[in-house]
Formats: sequence, structure tokens, C-alpha cells
Amino acid sequence: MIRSQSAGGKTSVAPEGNVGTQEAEQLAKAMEDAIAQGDEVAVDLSACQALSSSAIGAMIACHNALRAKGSRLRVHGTGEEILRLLRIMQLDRHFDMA
Amino acid sequence: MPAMEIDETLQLFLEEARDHLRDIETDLLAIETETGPADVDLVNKVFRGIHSIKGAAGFFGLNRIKELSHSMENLLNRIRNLEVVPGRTAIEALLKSADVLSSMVEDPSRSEDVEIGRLLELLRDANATRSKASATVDIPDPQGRVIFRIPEDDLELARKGGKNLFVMFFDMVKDIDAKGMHPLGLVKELEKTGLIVESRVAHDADGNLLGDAGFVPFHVFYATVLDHEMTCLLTGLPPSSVVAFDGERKPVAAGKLVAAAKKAAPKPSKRASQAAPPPERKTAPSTPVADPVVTESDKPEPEAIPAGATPRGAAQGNTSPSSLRVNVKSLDRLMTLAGELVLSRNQLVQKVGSKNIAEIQASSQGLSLIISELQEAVMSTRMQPLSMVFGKFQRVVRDLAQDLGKEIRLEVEGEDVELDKAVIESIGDPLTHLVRNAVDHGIEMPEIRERSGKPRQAVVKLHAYHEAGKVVIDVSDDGRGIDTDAVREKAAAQKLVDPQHLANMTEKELVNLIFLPGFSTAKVVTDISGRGVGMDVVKTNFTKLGGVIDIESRQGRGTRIRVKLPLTLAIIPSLLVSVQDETYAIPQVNLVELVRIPAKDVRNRIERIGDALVMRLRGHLLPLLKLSQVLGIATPTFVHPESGEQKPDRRTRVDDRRGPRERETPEEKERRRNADRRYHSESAINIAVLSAGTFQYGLIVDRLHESEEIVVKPLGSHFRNCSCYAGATILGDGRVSLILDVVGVTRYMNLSDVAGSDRSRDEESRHRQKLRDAQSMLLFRVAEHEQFAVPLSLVSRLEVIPRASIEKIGGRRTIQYRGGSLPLLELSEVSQVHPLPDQDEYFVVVYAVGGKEVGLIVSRIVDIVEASVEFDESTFAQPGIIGSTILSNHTTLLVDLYDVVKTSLPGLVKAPELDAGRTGKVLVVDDSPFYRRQIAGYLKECGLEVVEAVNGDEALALLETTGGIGLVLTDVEMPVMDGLELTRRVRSIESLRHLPVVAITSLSGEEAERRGREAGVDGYLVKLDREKILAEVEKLLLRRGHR
Repeated sequence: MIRSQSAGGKTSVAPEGNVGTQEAEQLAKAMEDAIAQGDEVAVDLSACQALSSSAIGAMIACHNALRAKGSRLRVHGTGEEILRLLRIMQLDRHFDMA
Repeated sequence: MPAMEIDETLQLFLEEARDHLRDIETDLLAIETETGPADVDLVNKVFRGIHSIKGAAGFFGLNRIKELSHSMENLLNRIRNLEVVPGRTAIEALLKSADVLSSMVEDPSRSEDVEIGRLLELLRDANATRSKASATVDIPDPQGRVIFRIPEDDLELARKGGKNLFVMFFDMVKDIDAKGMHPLGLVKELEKTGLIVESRVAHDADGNLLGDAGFVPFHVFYATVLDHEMTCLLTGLPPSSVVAFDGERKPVAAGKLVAAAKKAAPKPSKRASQAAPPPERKTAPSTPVADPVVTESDKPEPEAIPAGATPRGAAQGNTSPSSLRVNVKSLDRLMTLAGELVLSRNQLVQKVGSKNIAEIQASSQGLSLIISELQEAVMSTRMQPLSMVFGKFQRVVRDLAQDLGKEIRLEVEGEDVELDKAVIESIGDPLTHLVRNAVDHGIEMPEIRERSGKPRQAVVKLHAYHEAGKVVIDVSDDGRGIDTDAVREKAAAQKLVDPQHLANMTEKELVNLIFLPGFSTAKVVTDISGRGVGMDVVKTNFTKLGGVIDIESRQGRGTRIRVKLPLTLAIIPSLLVSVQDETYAIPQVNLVELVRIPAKDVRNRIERIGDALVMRLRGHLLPLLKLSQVLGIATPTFVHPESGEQKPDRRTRVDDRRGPRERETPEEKERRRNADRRYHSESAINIAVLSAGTFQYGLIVDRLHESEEIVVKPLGSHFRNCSCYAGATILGDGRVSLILDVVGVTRYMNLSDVAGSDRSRDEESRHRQKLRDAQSMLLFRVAEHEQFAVPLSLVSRLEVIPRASIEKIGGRRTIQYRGGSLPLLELSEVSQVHPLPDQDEYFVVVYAVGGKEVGLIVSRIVDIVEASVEFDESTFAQPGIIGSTILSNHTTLLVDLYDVVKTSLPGLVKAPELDAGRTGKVLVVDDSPFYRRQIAGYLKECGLEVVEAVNGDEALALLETTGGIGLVLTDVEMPVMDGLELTRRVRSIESLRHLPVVAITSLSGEEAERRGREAGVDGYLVKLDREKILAEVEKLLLRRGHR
């Protein structure tokens, strides 16, 4: 389940629970919409327990799209495990980690 | 330098050194031509060679050789640790040094005069050049794009422990999501079996993929013990996505070696650009090896190294010797025998033509004789006793102990065990390592040992024996054991093992970590056991011989390293046994005896305790196994003794010969009554009593056959898990027979439980303890069914006298003897024992009491036995009898010779009267309660006050806490602290220095007495010699009283 909040040119997307392939599609859709609006995008992972590859793919895709606009994907609320995963993949060096 | 005596040991060292040096040049050159980080295996090989030379030179006093090799070793060590680049300077220095070293080894007597200062300088200079610490290695993907840049240090770290390096390439969607995996789960899985050196998602690989579920590559640079195939299995990746990184700049995909090499053209990195090495370097040994097919046929008979080990040896370069030194005489003998063989064959061929059976038989006999001789001759050229290897250790240990200031005794057992020459020659180095390790790391300094209650002198033990057709060599010490906490720390610090894994390791696993390359727990690097070479080398060497090595260590108690080596070229004598129709071989080395229990005795001899079958064998309980049960034969059969038919055996229990009655038909019952086969001789039970290392057991078989020399053939690898079999052989009749693994069978049947073996070990130590207290006892009889014993040391003489010569005067019997009269005593006058029977001749045990000789008349002298004397003082004690024990299978009463005299001739006995108040107390130290009570009894009779202690340690404590002790009587052999040590201690304490100490012992003899005197005892007396003990006590106490 994906919660999305948009206010003042910033959209916060908060995937919850286990973000599998289906949820990843919703996540990608939510972020895509936000970028289409020209918003800054932040992903709040505080309620997320596990990320699938597709979800990570979606985040990378979103990040790359944002980078083309001179911005970065903001990621915050990461739990210990997910943070470890992002570090192993060296994505923490690219995303804007809060 | 004293004239050098080229003895056998030195000769052996020189030969070894030459062997080591022979390959060094090529190896060093190979190291130099490498462009990548040094090939650790090759550097290790050179390092080990130099290390062995250094060690041996040290103990032969060849100091220059030692100095030079030490410096070389230092440099090699730094190269191995990648602290120094093996460039021109370093290799140049090493080569020059190796040349000089070779010439020194050629002429050791002049080696001390060789000038090596300049070489040492060269080596030092080379040592000072450091490799750049910040060097990095670029890791490209198969397309040649650099995906990781990794510090060289990290790479080396990852490579340690023989890890394989792979660049793995995941498509996150296809390879992870689609397979139902989670990225984190995958990462965790990878970390379980290896180390993720570096990893990342190539986030910009394919640009903006928004809306496209497509392609997210995830690269992992992974170090693992798994091979390529296993890694693919683990990750679920196709083989093409897992690329081996071979330490060069370019990764090489398995199976695509050439293609990759051609195509890859990697981004050149600093060092790779200097020279592009051929990609197959890793697979080719450093020295050229011919085509494998040619090698096979070229070598007449390869080294007797088990088949499984050979490929490894080959892959590691030519480290195992390919030639063997054979005595020319043996060779001549072989030649002669070969000649005779040919002659015999010609004869036979001729006679076969003539069809004369008798003549054919004669020549076949001759032929078989020659073949036996030939076999023996061939074997003898290869078999050599372990004393060849063990011989040098006395000196190794002695010198080493002296250098280190330790007190160590080396005990060697089983040096006559023979092994194949190839094995003998190869185990010298690793065994030396083990012994040196034990001395250097295992044994504590004497002071520390004392503080922890151990004897100052430590024991290092070498023990070789046969077990299950293998030779086992134990190297054990009673030192500090292996500190598992230190091992854990070290392993963590050196990152040899994954920390998570480390936390879960058992003690045993931890101890075995010391076999990892580069591991050493010693805090100080000494020139004795080196810097972490050693155990890994030892393991490699033994493994190469098909051996197994195992460590058992108890902290504070000692370490035992057990090496099991196969008897190569194994032709072993075996007993053939059969169960049903199958014949099995039991190695003769394991066979103790054969027992046949007649059918009628089965019920008495075989018992059931719980679930286990046991047999009573000479007072011991022997566990029994049925071979048919071991082999899992579901429906046992027996051969009917009369009809010879094979019938199903319905007996379920060996100890109870009845089958289940309820299934019996009336006719069967009738038949049974008529001719009960249970009592037929064929129904006897055949038991082979086997020794399985620490204990024995009986194996019930159907039939026992002859023994035969069998040739051991290894079992195929698909039988690897059948622990019951040690191999197979082909019998004379051409049938295949399996060889039983006597120890394996017990393991398979869970026969050796821990409690059992502990018990047997206790038993053994008690037995040894008893033996130490052994005394010679004279056994005799008065009436035929009562056996008596006296300590032989108290007996002056034995005489035979005719009955007629006994005179009876004044109610007392005497004989004329040596110009005087010898009073004769009879035991039944004093004790409640049976009187002397009428005989024409008697024996007289002559002994002295109060300076006068008396004789004890007995009817028969039975024997003199060495026996440990621990007597039961309660059951049979009475006047004239101290107690009872079992000697030579009879209850035996120990006669108190003194008491006998005291009762029948009281006038003879003069016990000294002593005043305890004036003389002080007497401290009696003995670990045997029997002797302690005996001696205390003597003393108390004289009015002395007695304090008792069970060992030297306790005695010392008593001496400190109890005042007024005026004399110490101590046993010599005692646990914890023996009597001699106690004496030395007493002598070293100022306030006790003048305290008289008397050793009372069952160990007599000049040597023992001399050692006693050296330790500082005032008297040395034999146990149970009451008179002398009391006289000495009186003398010493009075002397002291006067002072």
C-alpha cells in the first residue's frame, strides 16, 4: 500500500509493509505522477519492511528522472536492514539520504 | 668451529636442504616474472623451504646458514604479506643468497667462514622497499568496463584462505524478483558463504528507465570458498553472469577463457600495462609438465601417494619427490630375484609342455618362493622404521628446551613402526614443526608450570602405532593447551573467518582454525616456530600423503595432535572371516585373539546388560557385536550341522539360544528333543576379539578362516560413507572381499561411548599408577590352597631343607645353618591359617629381624611377581597377616614377617622407644593409603606422633602450617608432586633446609638411589622394611634431638 502526500511542490511517497512487484508498480506510478507535476519527490520508508528489486528499480528510475532536472530523490525513514541494503548497492551515495 | 661430524641426521638435513634449494631458483624467477600481486602459493613454497633450512641449521649449530636463511625468510614473509613487491632488487637479493646458501649446504664444515654480510645488507635493502599502500586494483566486467576499484589490501584480504573471487552480475528484476528472491535475502545468503568485497547497483547503466520495469544491473565482487559451479547454484545465476577474477587485470569466464582473453582488452591498470601475462598462468604449474598421458606412461611407478592426493600434488608444482634413494645392495638383490624369476618361468613353461604334474608342482612351488622373496625385497626397499624420523627429535627437544629455558622430557614410543620410505621422508618436516610447536608454544616455563601445580619438567610425547591398517602418530604435550579465546581474537583480527561464523564455532572448530594459512597465536615471533607457517604447512604436507590431522586440546592440560597416515603399498596380513556366504578380512594388527564358545557354555559366558551383549573374558567384560547385525543382514541363517543345509536362524538373542516358542509346531518341538543342535559342536560361537584403539570388543562371526596376506585396494568414492569398510581385496580364489574397518564398525554401531572411553582411560591411568608402585613379591604356599606373599626385598635367602634336618628343641624348631642354628617359624603358629603338610622337603624363607636371621617354613615357592600392592587390610587382617590382594589370579595374604617374629620370638624384637615430645612429629607422605597406614603404624608403635599427606604438594603445605615436624618420610612416585621434587623444595626453603627427609620407595636400584641422593634425601629405604625404617627414623630423630 502506497500513501502519497503532495503539498507545496513536494510529494512524499510512503510505501508500507512488504513492497513487492505489484506495490513497486504503484510506487513507480506515484513517483511518476509527482515528477510529472514537477514536484520534488521524497520516499518515506519508515513503514516499509522490505523492498523488492522492482521497488529499488523504480526508485532508481525516479532518481534518474529527477537528476535530469538537477534534483535528487530524497529517501528518509529507512530502517537498519533497508539502509544496509542500500549501502551494499551503493545507492546511498546517490540518493539524498535524510 | 669443531670438526664437523657428518652423521646420519646431518646427512638427512643436507639432503633435505638440497631438495629445497633445487627448485628455489626457478620458483624465484617465476615469482619475479609475475606482474600481479605475488602468487601466494609459490612464495609460500619458497618460504617453507627456507624456513625448514633455517630451523634445521639452527639446531646443527650452522649459524651462518641460519642467519642467512633467516634474513631470506624475513624478506619472503614480507613479499608473502604483500608488503614488498617481488621486484628486481628483492629477487636479485634472494637469488644471490640462495646461491651462497647452496654452496654452504654443499660444504657445511666451511659454512661458518663464508662472508655473508653483503648479502644480509642486500636483503635488508630489499626489505626496506615498500609497495605503495594505496595501490588499487581495477575490477572490470566482461565487457572491459571498470566497475570496481578496490584497494589491493582488501583484495588480498579477500583472497586469504584460498578464496575464489568472482564478479557477479545480477539483473535485479530477472535474477532476483522473478525468482521470488529478495535483494536483502540474497545479500544475506551471499554473506553466509563468503565475503562481499564490493557491490553496487549500476544506477545509471541504462539511463532513465522510468516506467520501464526492465534492466537494473547489480554487480557484486564476491570472495568465497565455493567454486564457480557452486556459486552459480547458490545465486541461481547463469554461468555467464558469474565471472572468475583470477588476480590478473582481466576476469576470465569459465569455459570462455580464450575468447575472453582475446576480446576483453581490459582497461590497462598501472601494473598490468607493464607486461600482459598469459591468461592461463594460474592453471599451469610453475615448471613445465609434460602432456599428462606421457607423464603416466613415463613414470614407471609413481610415488606411493594415494590416488586422491596426486592431482593436487601435480597442480602445486613438483613438490613431491619423483625419485627415491635405494640402497644399491637392495637393487642388486632385486635384480638377482628378477633373474631367478625369469629362469623359473622358463622352467615352468617347459614343464607345462611336458604335462608332468609333479614337475609342474615343483616349479610352481619354486616360483611362489621367488615371488614371495621378491615381494619382500621390494617392500623392504620402501619400508623404513619411524626411528629414522624420531631419532633426531631427542636432540631437537633438548636443544630447544635449553634455548628457551624450559625443562622438557621427550618420550618416544613405537619408533619401530615401519612406513613407506616416501612417507617417512615426507613427514620429517611437518613432524619437526609439530614437535617444535609443542616445545615452543605448548610447554610453559617451569615457574609457570609449578604455579599451576604441574611438575617442572614437561613431557612431550611421540607415539606411533598401527590402527585399522593405518599408522597413527600422536604428538602430545602436557603444556598449556590452545587458548581458544586467543584463537578467536586472532582469527577475527586477521579476518581469516567471517565474524558471524566465528561466534558460532565450537571449541574444536576453533582449535582447528590454527591450520589456516598465516595463523599464529604466539605473541612473539621467534626463530623457532616461525610466524604462522607451520600448522598450515603441516596440514598440507600430511594431506598430500593422504593423511588426516586432528587436534585435541584442553586448556591448561595439554594438546594432542593426531596424525593418521595410510600404510601405502599396503599388503597386510589379515584374518578371513565369513558371515553367511560372504568373506570379510580383518587386519591382523587389530586382532587380539580368537575365542570359541562351545554351545553349552554360551549361557554362562555371554550375558546381556541392557541392550548390549557382553562376554566374560578372564574377569573382564568384553562388549560383543554380531557382524551380521553390523552389516544389516535382515534374515540371518545358519548351516545345519548334520544336513549341511542353510536354514533361517530364528534366534533373536545370542545369549538365549531359544527361538520364539509360540511359533513352533509340535513336530518341530519333537525334532528338537531328539537331536538338539544347540549342543552340537558346529553351534559354537566364534568371536574375534579386536582392538579398536582405546578398547577391545568381540565380533561374532559365522566362521573363522585362515589368515592371508591381502593387497589393500581402496574403495570407490561412492563407498566413502561406509565407515565399516577400510577397503577391498581380491582373494586367492578370485573373489572380492571387503576389509572391515575395526574402528569404523564401533563408530557405526556407537559402541564407543564417551563414558566408556573415559572409563577405560581412567582404568589405564590407574593401572599405570599401580605399576609405578610395583614391588617384587615372593609368592609361596604353606597349605596347598592358601597363597601368601612377602616383599622380596625383605627376604635374605631361600633355602631348601630336608625334613630330617629339622631339630625340635624346647618346643621350637631349628636347623643347623651356616655354623649356627636358625630358628624356624611356621605361619600357622601365629595366624589362623592351615598348617604345613607333611613333606620330605621344605622351603625356608630366610630373613633378618633385630640383627638375627630367622626362617619361615613353607611348603612350596610359587613365583616371584612384579605387582602393585594395594592391600585390603580389613578382610583378612590378623596377627602375622597385613592384608590381602589378588596376585596371579589367587587371593593372596601378605605376611607381616616382623609380626610373625614378634609373636613367636618376642625376645628378638626391639622396637625403639622414642619420645614424641622431644623428637617432634613425623610427616608420612605417600599416595597409597595402604603404605601410609603401614608406616604410620610402625611409627605410632614407637610412640611417635604422625602427620600424613598424600602428595608432595600437600606435604609442603603441611610443613608450612604444622609446627614441630622433625622428620619427613616420603614415597618417591606420587601424583602432583613426587618425593624427589618435595625433597628439593624442602632443601630450598631456608627454615626447612636441615629437616631430615627419607625416601621410602618400592623403586630400588642404584640409579633410583643416586637420583634420591642428588635431590637431597638423607636416607633411601624400601617399603615395608619396618626394621630399617625404624632404625633410620630413630637415628635421624635422635641426631636431630641432640643438635
